[in-house]
Amino acid sequence: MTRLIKRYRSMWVLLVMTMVFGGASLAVDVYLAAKPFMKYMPDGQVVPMWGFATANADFSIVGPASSPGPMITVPDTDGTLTIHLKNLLTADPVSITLAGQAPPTSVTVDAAPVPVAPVRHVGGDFDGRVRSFLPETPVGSVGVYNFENVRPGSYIYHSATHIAVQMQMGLYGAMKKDFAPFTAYSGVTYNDEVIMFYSEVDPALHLAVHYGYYGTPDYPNTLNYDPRYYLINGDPYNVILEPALATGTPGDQVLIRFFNAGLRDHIPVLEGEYMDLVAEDGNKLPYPRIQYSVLMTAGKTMDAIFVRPGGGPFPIYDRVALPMAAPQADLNQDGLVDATDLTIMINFINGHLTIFSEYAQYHADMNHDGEVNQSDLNILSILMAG
Amino acid sequence: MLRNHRMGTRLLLLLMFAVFIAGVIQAQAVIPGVTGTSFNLAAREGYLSTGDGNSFYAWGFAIDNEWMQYPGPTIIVNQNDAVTITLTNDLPAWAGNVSILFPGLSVQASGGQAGQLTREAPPDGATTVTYTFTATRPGTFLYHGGTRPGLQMEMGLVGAIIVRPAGFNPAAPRAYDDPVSDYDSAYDHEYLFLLSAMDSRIHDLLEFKKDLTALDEVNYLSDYFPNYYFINGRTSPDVFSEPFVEWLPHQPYNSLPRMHPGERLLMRVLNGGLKRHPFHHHGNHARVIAKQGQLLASMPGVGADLSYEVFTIESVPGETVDAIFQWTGEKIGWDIYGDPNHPDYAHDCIDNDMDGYDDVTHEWCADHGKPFPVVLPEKQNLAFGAFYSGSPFLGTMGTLPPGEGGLNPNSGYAYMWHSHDEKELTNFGLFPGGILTMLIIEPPGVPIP
Repeated sequence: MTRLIKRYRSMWVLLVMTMVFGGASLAVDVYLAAKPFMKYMPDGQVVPMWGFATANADFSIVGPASSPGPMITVPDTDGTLTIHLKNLLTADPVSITLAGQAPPTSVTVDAAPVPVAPVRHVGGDFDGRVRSFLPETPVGSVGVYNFENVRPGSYIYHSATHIAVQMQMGLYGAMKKDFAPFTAYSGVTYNDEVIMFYSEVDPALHLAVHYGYYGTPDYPNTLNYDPRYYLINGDPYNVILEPALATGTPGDQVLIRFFNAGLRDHIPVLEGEYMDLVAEDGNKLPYPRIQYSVLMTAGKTMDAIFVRPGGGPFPIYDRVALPMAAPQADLNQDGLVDATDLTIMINFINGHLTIFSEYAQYHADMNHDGEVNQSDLNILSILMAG
Repeated sequence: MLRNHRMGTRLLLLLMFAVFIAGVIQAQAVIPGVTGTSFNLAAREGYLSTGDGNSFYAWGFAIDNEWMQYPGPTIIVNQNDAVTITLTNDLPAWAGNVSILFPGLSVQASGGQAGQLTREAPPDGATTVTYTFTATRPGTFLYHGGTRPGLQMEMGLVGAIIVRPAGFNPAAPRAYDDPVSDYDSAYDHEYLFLLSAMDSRIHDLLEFKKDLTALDEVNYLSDYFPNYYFINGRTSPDVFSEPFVEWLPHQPYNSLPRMHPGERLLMRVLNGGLKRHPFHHHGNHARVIAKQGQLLASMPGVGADLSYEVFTIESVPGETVDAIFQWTGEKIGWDIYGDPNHPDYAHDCIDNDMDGYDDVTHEWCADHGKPFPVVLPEKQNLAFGAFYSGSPFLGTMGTLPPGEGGLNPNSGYAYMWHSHDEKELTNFGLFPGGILTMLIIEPPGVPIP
């Protein structure tokens, strides 16, 4: 049973003077675990996700998983980043890569060296096709990925295995390295830092992966990707818990690190102000671009310096977001998804119910393929069985 | 029956020289809009017409007691003006509050009700919100709905603002305050290209349901799929009609750029929608001199030294791009005015200022007298466009079968300017339509407003 509350996708956050942002800072040896978790959305929906969690060196203590995962901070003095990754997923192998950095120079799995090479499917329909760009860490194992000559900048780390599924499930996060203390790139200094990490969630895909019908005719692939939650720093915009980010005091140079781990464009607009775009994909721009908005295509990182004036707050909104409510299979609109809804769908598919409201038609399309049929019934049955 | 209009060329050239000798050419195309420092806008309902004969419900900004228009009135002010814009909301109650955002402009809002992004006007037709700003920098800007902005822009609440640089001289216009010696933002003609798209399902749904929550029962927003594409609020071929024609009462602005060889055309390209539009301009590259109201400069006072050339302007939602387009016959490979030894095409190429071009016609003198490099196929083997003059020579009208041509009365060169996302060249799937217009290179001497 699922409670129903109307909600809207995240659209904007307010930058206000509250506290200096402080992400979890990690040493050059980073211990992460990939594991499932449940994301509680503000409308009461619960979405199964996968995320990265921090852990201690022998993985006897593993923190809560999140998506995006913990910020990886590489000290400006260090050129080598070693990621120890434990796979706590239920069935799938996993790996980790740093987009924009050189691939790892060496990888071990359970202390045994493995060649740094793609992993291919063996046998079956996908025989010979690449499944993972880097060596995989099987369930229960620990893989060690050794990245050398790490460049300064803002980067996205993510699973390098079955990316279409594993990134969408939430296996991504931010990595940053300063050029020097409070200097993001050569000559780009800052006093305060704001992280704006964009991503999306299409609950239909998450349910398909979680309940094991991803890749079946009921939910073949992400072709009908139709995200219903737009996340900033992992959370949809919530009127009650407005995520206010720190911008220090007037006159401060605020470094805004933008990331997009989603599949859609996001275009944050800093209303009424300009910022200097100083770097793109971890590369310092020869001259800053002075802009009020920044096009964030899928996978992109951008760094901007915003010289904070007095006053505020300073709204940032996504120029291309169309906020809307998320659907649920509550076909009789009684606030519950239960056996009655299942009966309604069965009767509709069998042709016993000719009147099917537009509302029900929309909310009964469980796999977002544009029609209500046996696949949707299969999915609802699986969800009802829990 | 075929007709021959070559004698028109000679008349035209005569006229051209007469005009140039008199030295009265004053050829700045004007972007229609409203001027002043105080503007009363209202959000109102209306209907938009499209090139395929469809029409659908929309919202738009109106000036004073006029009808709503799409896009809203183009607001033209001068640098350093203190600008006041008041907003009232004449939309029906179910449409909810309306507000205005002005990206790139530092705006103070007062009155009305507090909203999440700015002050808002409730739909009572009376409450006013006042937005004030000082136009500190010249440039091209957008204004648009700020209460649930994505939806309000989709419904039509969007418009353009042009800030003229201080000391603007209409006889020698410039877009920015770059050094006069650099010439970067100087232009002869300016045109607005406010690109946008609409998904008419959303408009039909709201017209009939009269309830914004109806959008929560369909996937029109999460699966946003526009079917109409606009330049300055019109689809093609309506863009070719005059501005302010009575049969498009809510869509007063057109798009038909025209210039003479050698001139500088300022393209002000704005994206007032939710999708990117690759605006592809045939004929030549354009030099992008400014984005988002900022001259592309490595430091103030050096001109647009970071400008760059493109043949497709990537128009990003919420962005404005200013680009200078130039066209000459240079390196086209033949004498654009025809064989100078033929009595019908007799002309000189006189380059006293040593810039390589004729000082009057802007012919590229290195190509003077070069023959047209191919033999044109027989007429029965050709397909004709409505903009073809029948001749490869500028200002010459050639023979055309009956019923062909006709949209190019001065026998200019026509170049299609269009979105290169091919779906955006249609009206609900029917070609031609959408973001599609023609640049006309007019022969020297043809008056351009």
